[in-house]
Amino acid sequence: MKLSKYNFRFLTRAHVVVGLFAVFLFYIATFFGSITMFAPYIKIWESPSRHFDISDKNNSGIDLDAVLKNVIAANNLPTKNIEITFPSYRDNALKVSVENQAVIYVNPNNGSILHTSDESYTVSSFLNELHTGANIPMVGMPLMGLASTAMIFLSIGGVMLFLSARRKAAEKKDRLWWHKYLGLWLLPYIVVFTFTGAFLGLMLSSSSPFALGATNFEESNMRKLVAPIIFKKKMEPKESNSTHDALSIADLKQKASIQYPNLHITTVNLYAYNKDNYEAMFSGYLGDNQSISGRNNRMSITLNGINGDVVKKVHIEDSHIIKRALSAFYFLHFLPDQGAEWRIAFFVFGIVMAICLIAGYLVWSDRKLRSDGIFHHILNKIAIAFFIGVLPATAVLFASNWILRFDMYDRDIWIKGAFYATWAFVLFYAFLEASILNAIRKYLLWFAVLMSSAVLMHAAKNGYFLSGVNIANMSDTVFFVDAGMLLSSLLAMLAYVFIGRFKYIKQYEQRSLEAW
Amino acid sequence: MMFVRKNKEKIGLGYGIAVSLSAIFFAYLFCSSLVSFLPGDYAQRIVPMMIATPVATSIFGIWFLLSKNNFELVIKTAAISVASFLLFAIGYLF
Repeated sequence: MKLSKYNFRFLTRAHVVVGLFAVFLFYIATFFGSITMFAPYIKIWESPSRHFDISDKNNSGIDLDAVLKNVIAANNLPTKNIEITFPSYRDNALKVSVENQAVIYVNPNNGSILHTSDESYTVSSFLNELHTGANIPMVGMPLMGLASTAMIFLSIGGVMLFLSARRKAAEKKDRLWWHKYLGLWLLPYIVVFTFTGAFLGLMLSSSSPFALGATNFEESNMRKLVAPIIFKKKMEPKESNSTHDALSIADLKQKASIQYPNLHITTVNLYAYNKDNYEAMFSGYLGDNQSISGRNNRMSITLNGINGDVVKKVHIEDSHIIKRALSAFYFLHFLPDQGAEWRIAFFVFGIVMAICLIAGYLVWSDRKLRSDGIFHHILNKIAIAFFIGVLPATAVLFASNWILRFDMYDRDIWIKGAFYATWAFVLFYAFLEASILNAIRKYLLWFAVLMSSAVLMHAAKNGYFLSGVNIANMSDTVFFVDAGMLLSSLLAMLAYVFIGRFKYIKQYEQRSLEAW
Repeated sequence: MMFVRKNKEKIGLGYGIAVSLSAIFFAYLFCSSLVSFLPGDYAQRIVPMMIATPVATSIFGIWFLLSKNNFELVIKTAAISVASFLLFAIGYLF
């Protein structure tokens, strides 16, 4: 399919204009989304109560029933429906939760209750907010969804332009080459993240037309129509006062594993715990079908708590087709049960995507350098603060987690405030500094210093500096997060030293200084 | 009428914004009309169309953009409106 000369021109112009709208938003979504890939590990890193390794991955070392009885007695919990989430790479604590009550965390190594009242996952949850746009109330998420929709437009248009463009035998590897080919290689990644991003960001908040269409204009709330179909609530057994001797949770878990061998149990719901109508529902994902048994379509087996008989077994074919479809649809975006290998791979894709977006911006910016329009210069400064300046602001986020006291009033507001203040300062500095190269180098230096300071402060606050024994006992997850942060500082320092040697950067710097 | 039928030689920002907003509007209109027409329960009818709408927005946007003149653009939007109206009517009646 070849576009006519005019259509090629129209589509190119639309690609540029829509691209300029979407590039900043999608860069932010990509940058913070890539870091959010490591959110489960960052959660452990930012919470001192989780700085331990799980000694027994199957949790058979502690008596779960004794722990649970202790938790119920200490917190006066009702026994109608107790949910226990087993430790995993997402959280190494055992989580006990009851509807409308505070969640209790238990150390699975010794059964002690963890003191988490001063802890909140500020860093990891704020990174996710920045990724989804939830940090800007009302408009943030739809705006990110709109940027994802624009990215679908840019991808379809980009492929059409690529197929219609006349190419020379040997193409020069300039910004356009990088933008074109990185974009094409990343098409599957872009499809996964833009489709899910547009659905979650834009469509969920503007679903009224579909609800109206489905109900002949009688109901405008989509959730009211869809949720009862795909998220059916389990009928809980009635409350009973008569207690009964029951099998232990460990025995029930073992029976569930025998009855449902490919079920990887992540959670158990105990209904009417230790009463005569006690039932235990073990749920999780299927080892041989992880994408369809993802976070919103868990498979389960329900056992009678007294004798261990199977009450109900939910297979994939029992779940609603849309539930299965949504599970597969979300799978590559959320990686619900995937470990570090998948997350590192997606992080690398995210970085390549960020480079593709910057290359796309530079294609436009490079041409505009010749004209000395004030709009272009202002946008260039904003672009530097967005693309590179976000690095020191993010490093401040990590460092402030260990600078501020955990029992400080409104701690999360101070941490978020420090992030925004740094980002605002970075933007101010971009306008203050005429040389783009100098500004970029400063940002890289600040990032390296702040990120390594975050590691040092983390070490100092947890006593890793003072004792060799503490370092040896350091949790693997915490160690790797610290190591990753130090590695990113090192890479930033290398970029700081060598960035001035790139011919293109030098030329861009020269031309921008002439135009300024 | 000359203005409507005159072939475009360049596209301005106003035209681009109008095309973008029209693409969003007609994608919502067309996909929500399909919801009233499709078989199955509410989840089977609504969720797939919610996933399809951003793609429809992009396809309509490109389709509108590649119009030779404003007349062709009016014909395209009218065609989607008529198709949507028919789908709504069929869904409502049956």
